[in-house]
Amino acid sequence: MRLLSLFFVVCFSSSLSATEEEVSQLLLSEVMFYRMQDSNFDAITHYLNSNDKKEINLNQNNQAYIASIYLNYDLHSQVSNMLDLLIHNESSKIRDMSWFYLGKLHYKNKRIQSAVDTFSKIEGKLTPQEQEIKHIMYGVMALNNANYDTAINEFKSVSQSSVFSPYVKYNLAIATMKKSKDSEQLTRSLTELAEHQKMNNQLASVFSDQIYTTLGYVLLQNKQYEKAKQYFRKVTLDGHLTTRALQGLIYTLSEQQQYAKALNLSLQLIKMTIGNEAVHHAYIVIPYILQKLDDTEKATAFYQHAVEYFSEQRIELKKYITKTRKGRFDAYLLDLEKIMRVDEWVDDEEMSRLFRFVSTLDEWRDAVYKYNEMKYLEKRLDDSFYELVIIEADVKQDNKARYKKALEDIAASKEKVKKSITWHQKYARHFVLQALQNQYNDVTDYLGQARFALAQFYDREEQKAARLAVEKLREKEQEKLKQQNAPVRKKQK
Amino acid sequence: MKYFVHKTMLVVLVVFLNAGASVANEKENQAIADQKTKLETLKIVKDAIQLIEDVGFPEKNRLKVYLSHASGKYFGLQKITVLIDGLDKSEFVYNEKQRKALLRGGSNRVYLGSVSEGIHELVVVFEGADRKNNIIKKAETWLFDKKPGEYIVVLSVADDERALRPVFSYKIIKGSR
Repeated sequence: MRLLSLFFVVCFSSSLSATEEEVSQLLLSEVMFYRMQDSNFDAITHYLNSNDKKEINLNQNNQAYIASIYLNYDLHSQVSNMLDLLIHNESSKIRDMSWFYLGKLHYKNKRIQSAVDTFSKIEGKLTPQEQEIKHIMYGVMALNNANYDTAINEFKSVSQSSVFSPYVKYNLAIATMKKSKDSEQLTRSLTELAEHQKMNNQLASVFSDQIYTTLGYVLLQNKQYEKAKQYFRKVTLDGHLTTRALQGLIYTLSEQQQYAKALNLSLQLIKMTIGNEAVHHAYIVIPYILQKLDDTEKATAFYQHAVEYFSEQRIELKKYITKTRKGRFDAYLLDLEKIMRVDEWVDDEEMSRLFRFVSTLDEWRDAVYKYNEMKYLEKRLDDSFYELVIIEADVKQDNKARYKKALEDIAASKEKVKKSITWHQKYARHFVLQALQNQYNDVTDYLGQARFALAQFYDREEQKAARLAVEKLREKEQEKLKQQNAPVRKKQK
Repeated sequence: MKYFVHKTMLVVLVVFLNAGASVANEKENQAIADQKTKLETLKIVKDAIQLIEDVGFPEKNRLKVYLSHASGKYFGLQKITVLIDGLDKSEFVYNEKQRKALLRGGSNRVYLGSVSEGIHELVVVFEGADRKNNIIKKAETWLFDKKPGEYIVVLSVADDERALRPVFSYKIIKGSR
């Protein structure tokens, strides 16, 4: 917003004629029209078009605005060049703004030290919102570097009334706990945050679920079981942390020796979904609870069931790995259109399961984003090609060479875009395969655990039976001895 | 034997680390290549737009009509229709995102065409809703005398605070007025 207001002020005060200034302002507002719809591609092409014709008054403020569009479109190298020019500007306001954007750019690219160095060059005051963003970035950087004192100070510098306040409070609570190892403090802070959230209903359920789950586990660790249960129960039933919260609830109930309730919940949990870490764990926990309830027969049966379940899971995962390797899921896993309409094909059990699994992978989400970005470029090149084909008959001699070059450029660029698409496709597949392989290894571990527990169980049962048999034998021998000794005693009498 | 085991472990570790580094390098290189491809595509698409504009609508006859400053207090714009001399027609239906972009100061080109020199009629039909959600359809007609060179016309919707109603206007910002 600050950029926009600056840009209007400067537009009115530049040296262009009134008409040129009006045209420049109109064309920049056209760029804004696309930027505000997140159509960065159209915003930049419109800017490039007008800039080529020298119709845009490219003063520093407008340059900073254009740089922010390039930044949003991840064209970092271009932004660096633009900001480098602006950094030498005479106006300290523009210099600071440029340092700020450059710092953000480094932060986004995870060049943490460069980000810190860049931010330190800001001389004047940033706007309150820019200042808050800077504190948050510094705080997160310090938290990642285990520099908790700095992180706490940075997070504390963000205003309570800030829109980022709930997220800052959460990070502050985590930094404080990591510094002092005081989980009581964390409990207090998160409880306060959770209650505040409840009163204002201002947070997304994803974030509130995160608070409730963290709080639940901290309280469980502190043996505050009743409170822990309260927070686990607040987690939404269809969120990404549902199974984690259920698992926490089961642990809590087990700690309280409420085994019947824990068993009931565990049985519900395994019906909820498959191929999930919490579900896998529940398959091991259920027979343990059954043993605690002295239901040996059912415990044995469930251990056997768990062994079958994990064996099936392994076969399923192997199948997914083979199919993914052959590229059978590519069309589904990388197509944003299909991902957006996931409910329409969710009936396909196989796909739905795989989709739920991969959607939790950051690398996959990143690959999908980039793959679709390249697909969009391909589409735009195709559109341009067909639009050019339509006007072919109208192209006069003076434009023939330009027309031919445009078609050649499109063809050459399409080749590069296609290469990129293939790369991202392979990359996404690589991560999905890696994650599937990790899950396969986990399931193999669980299968080993279930088999071992079953063997131990049988072993114990066998030992028990053996002990019983030995005891019976001993009893028989003693009986025999008694019988043998009895006449002797008579004789002695 | 112990030495051999340690050496083998070291080799495995180095190979493993190298594999990780190579994936990271590959990703970094691809990110650079993607940026280049993006920039190149932007330029190619921009060149194509310019060529299409130059071939289809030569500068001496070119007419561009923009919609700018669509104020939303008394009128929420949903659709705009532009007619030149009752023949050449162009229509735009705005979605929520586009309406918001217009309200926040964005401008949208609603017509691009060729008109010969002389007097022409520009008819614009604004369709939308008032504050009570009543449908409003307002047609405005303006005449202009086209001289050689590119013409840019800006349409705007503003609020008349005294009359408590929207005001529709047009202005030629490029070309002889």
